[in-house]
Amino acid sequence: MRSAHPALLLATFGLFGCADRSSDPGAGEVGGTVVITVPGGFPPSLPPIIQEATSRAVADQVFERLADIGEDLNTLGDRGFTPRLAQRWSWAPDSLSIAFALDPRARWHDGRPVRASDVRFTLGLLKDPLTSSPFTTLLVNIDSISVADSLTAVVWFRRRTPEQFYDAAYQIEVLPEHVLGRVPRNQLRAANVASVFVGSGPFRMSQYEPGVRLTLIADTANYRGRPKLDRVIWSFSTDAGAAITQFMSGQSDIYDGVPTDVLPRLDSNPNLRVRPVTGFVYAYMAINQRDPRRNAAPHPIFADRQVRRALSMALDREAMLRNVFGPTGVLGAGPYPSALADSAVRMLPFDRAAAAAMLDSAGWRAGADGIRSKDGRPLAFSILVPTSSAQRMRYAVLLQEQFRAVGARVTVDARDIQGFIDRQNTRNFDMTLTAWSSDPAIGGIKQTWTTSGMVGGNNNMSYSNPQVDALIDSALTGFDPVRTRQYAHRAYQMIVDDAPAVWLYDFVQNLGYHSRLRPVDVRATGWAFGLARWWIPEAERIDRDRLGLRPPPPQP
Amino acid sequence: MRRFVAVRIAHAVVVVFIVTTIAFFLIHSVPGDPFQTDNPRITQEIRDRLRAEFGYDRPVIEQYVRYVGNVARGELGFSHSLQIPVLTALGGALKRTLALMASALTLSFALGIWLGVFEARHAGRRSARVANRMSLLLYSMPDFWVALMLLLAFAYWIPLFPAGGMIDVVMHDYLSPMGKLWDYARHMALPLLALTLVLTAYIARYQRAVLLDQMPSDYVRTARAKGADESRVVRRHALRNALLPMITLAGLAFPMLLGGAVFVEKVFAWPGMGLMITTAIFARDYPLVIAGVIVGGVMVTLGSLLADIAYGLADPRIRVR
Amino acid sequence: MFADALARLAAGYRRLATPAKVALAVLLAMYLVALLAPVIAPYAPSQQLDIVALKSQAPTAAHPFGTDRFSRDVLTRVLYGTRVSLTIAMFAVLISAVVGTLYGLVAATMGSVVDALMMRLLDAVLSIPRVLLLLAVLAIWSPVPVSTLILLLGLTGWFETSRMVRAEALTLRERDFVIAARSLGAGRGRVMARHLLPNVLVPVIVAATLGIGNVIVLEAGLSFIGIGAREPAASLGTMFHDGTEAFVGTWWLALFPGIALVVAVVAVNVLGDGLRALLDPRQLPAAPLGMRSATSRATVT
Repeated sequence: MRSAHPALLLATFGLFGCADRSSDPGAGEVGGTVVITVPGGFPPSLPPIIQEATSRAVADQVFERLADIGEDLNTLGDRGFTPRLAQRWSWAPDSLSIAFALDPRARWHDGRPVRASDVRFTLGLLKDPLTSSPFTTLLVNIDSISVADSLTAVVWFRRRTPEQFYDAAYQIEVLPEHVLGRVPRNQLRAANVASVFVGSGPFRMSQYEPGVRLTLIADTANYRGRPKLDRVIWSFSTDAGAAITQFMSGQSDIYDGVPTDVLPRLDSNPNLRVRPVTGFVYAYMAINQRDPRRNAAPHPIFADRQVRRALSMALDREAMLRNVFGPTGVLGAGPYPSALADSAVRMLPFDRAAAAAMLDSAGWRAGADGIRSKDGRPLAFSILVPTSSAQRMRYAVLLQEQFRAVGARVTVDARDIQGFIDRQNTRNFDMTLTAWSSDPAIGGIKQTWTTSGMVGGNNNMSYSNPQVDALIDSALTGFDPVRTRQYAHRAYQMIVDDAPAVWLYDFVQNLGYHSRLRPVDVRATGWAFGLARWWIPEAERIDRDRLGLRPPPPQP
Repeated sequence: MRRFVAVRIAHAVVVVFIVTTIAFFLIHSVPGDPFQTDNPRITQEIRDRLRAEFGYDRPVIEQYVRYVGNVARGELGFSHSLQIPVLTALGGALKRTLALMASALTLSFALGIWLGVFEARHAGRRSARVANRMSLLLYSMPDFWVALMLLLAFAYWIPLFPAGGMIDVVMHDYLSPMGKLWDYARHMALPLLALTLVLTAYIARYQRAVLLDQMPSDYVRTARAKGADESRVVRRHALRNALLPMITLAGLAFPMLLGGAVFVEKVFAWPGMGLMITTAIFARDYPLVIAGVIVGGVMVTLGSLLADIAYGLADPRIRVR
Repeated sequence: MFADALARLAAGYRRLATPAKVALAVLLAMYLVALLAPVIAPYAPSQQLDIVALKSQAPTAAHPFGTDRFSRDVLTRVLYGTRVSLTIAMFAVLISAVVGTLYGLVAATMGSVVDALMMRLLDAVLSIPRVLLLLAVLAIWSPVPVSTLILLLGLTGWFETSRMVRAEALTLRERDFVIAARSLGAGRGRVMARHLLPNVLVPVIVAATLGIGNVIVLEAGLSFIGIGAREPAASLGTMFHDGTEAFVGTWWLALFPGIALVVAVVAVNVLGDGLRALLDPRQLPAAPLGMRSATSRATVT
């Protein structure tokens, strides 16, 4: 399975980087201020505890990895990887360790040099259970990091695997020990954003006003050269509607996730551009198999596999997709982003009559009001959904009606993004409309769909099938591409048949941006990947682009 | 007069006390305690501190006494959604709401009284009837709908004004003092207009009714008999008396405005108390919501206290009682 | 005695000004149409007709008010929404009227200590803006079923009524017929029920009529924020809540429910004005939300 990736990835994502490069004029075009509107405004997270896309975009500007994945998004071996914090690296003869030589010029934003001990510290932080990082499962193959000298960090692996370089270079965003060593691990989430966001990346933290805005400013002393833009501001608005209005009226420059209904209005506005960005983010409705109130007990409705299958089959996923995304949508293909999809996996069909019959035979019979019940318990449940996602808010209403058609009474439990994440983390939901940004690699499957993901990962629906676990493990450890593919295929099919979730859509986010911006290297791994290289032609600048780096005058 | 003021202040204190009591029992209608959230960002340490602060391990009566004491000292708890003390959060938001409300109040009283006088003076004529119907129509419109329509019309179809927020998030800090003022004004225009339209309509209707009520009075008839022309009668005699109830009305327009501000702020993303509370609702940030209610109650009490005192100053008959 | 008051109202109908008569007719027609929604409306209110082909359609002959993002027929939803909005408002106002009347009568008849206590309590609740109080309660309890919403709206709307009833009852108490009844040995309860209640009913009915307008608007606002009526009992306000995300491009989603709302409220207010002019020509216009209190305080204390 793994060997199948590179070609597929090339075909799907190679285009983005190349098209942009041609318009890049070089280092001359410096200056400009970019405002990004996002719905909702909760504190950005440090890399080890990131759970949503805005925090990811912010962190990627402030912090750095040892090496960056190449434009072809290859994850096998070290082909295509470009040096970042590490100037170069060397493999041990047995491939069980890699020595990364840090760039001696690299400095934290507070001026202190970046050391190998910082790399070691970061791994310790990620692996500490107190941190409760969702990325722990991705790092099981990294045994430890040792410090050979102050600029050489040696990463030790448990096993030789095709993606071991990727695991070390890409999964670890290096954090400053002298800053974060003081913060208790279980309080990373409550840490003061302005003081702990000290990285080595192109932008530095300038100002954070809770619920209002977050400002990054160019790190002009950066060892890799300053970014072209002077300033990037994330402006938080109350909800998706307000955010879109602000973008459309020119108050902000970027809005990620323009709803399809609004697209025609962007076409008629010469100042606005839109670009569909496919990513590794896939959205699904997870079905909780444990009782939301008492996690030890099985869920009174969804513990029954047949009920889950019936409810999945009651849903017209295709029609819902067309409603929300129009003709450009990409249907959820299974327990992975469609870029990694196994097209041979058979999804459960949409068949309302069959679904009704299955519910009947599972003992859920329709009453006078059309609502099914079993042993006096009505077939009623709620769908958890974040108010910050226009798409998922919309899916919730569509789902509600489709479930009603087979005799289920559904309430929509809409919460702000923080409340939503809290509920998911504490498994306090019936169904949840969730979206997960997968790794561009097969290892990402493990985080969500295996038993180990229940503890250190993202499997908060408590789906557990030992056969699936075994098959995934076999797939991840083997080096025979044919066998790997077979194992993975069987695991995928088994997951789909168990119906632990309904796979709704893949993120094709419509990235809306102002026409004066020249985007560079917009990638599937995140639109903001190349933000440091975005630029604004001199002639098209507006007032806020001409501010330069000067701080605002002191307030009277 | 001094006694009158003292009695009114005592009343106000009692009222605020009862408001606080209601707020306390509202918080306690939540199962568990408000810090029993599943929010991982509230660490055990913060939780313990908050518990101790509010004494959640004590009997309800003791908690109640503590709570009232805390409120009296201005300690309103900690907002978990914003990660700052509630008082800090509300302080900033309250200023912005008050700025909006004070402007709306001034504007709509000026316009409303003028319109009311116009309707009373031309009572029976076509122009007054049209004005009266217009104010009835406006008065019957939900404030959030007026706001939505204004937003559509003047921020979108004819983009004269910004669609929301209070300042230009980037440029504001760099503007000259005059420029800053202009920036505020541009952002405030639409929410202010929405609030003013509805309130003006109400005040005009009230003013007109009060004036028409005064017209048959003896002193008006006397003035007429003395040969004063009609517009002078309305302005000098009827209006002078009819303005008295308007003082009270000014104090009482507060709750209406505050209520309206909740919806209007929501539509225009004006970062005031209303927006903060509606956002806090979806964040399940109870301490913030409840504190909003207490502050709202205090504001309204203050408003009616000031109005009563002003009324007492203006009308000696009140002071005697 | 209700019959008596109603009979007086009915007798007064002929004397109502023409605008008020029209308003009454409009209101009755609207409510009738809304009540008959299941018969008249072409579809079920939450029915998603064809989520691909029929979403967000501008008004056409088949869907005169257009369709929303979920391909639901907006005309159907306006009909059902009007029914929900008007029903919620009427029941809420009924609760307010009953509670307010009882509270006011008790305060007026139980002696000065009880009266003072009850009035201070009233001052306090009157000082909490009704919107904020409802926001707080709903924030903590939401989602609530429609019946609870009605109860909450009703229980936060009786304060002004009770103040008015108390004032009215206090003046009535000094009137000859009440004094006569008392001197003949009638107890408090009997005086309250037989002599005070019938005489305060008429102003209560006027205030209630005007209160309906307020509650319609208030409920729409709460639903607009997302904590009021919700599916399947979508009110007119819920429709705004659904429409805000993309209503820039789909104006019909904000316009038609808005018109229904404004027509209903205007009709209620015109009718209320007409009734008041008829029954009590000297009274000031009713105060919306919390405005009535101090004016009555100045005249009653």
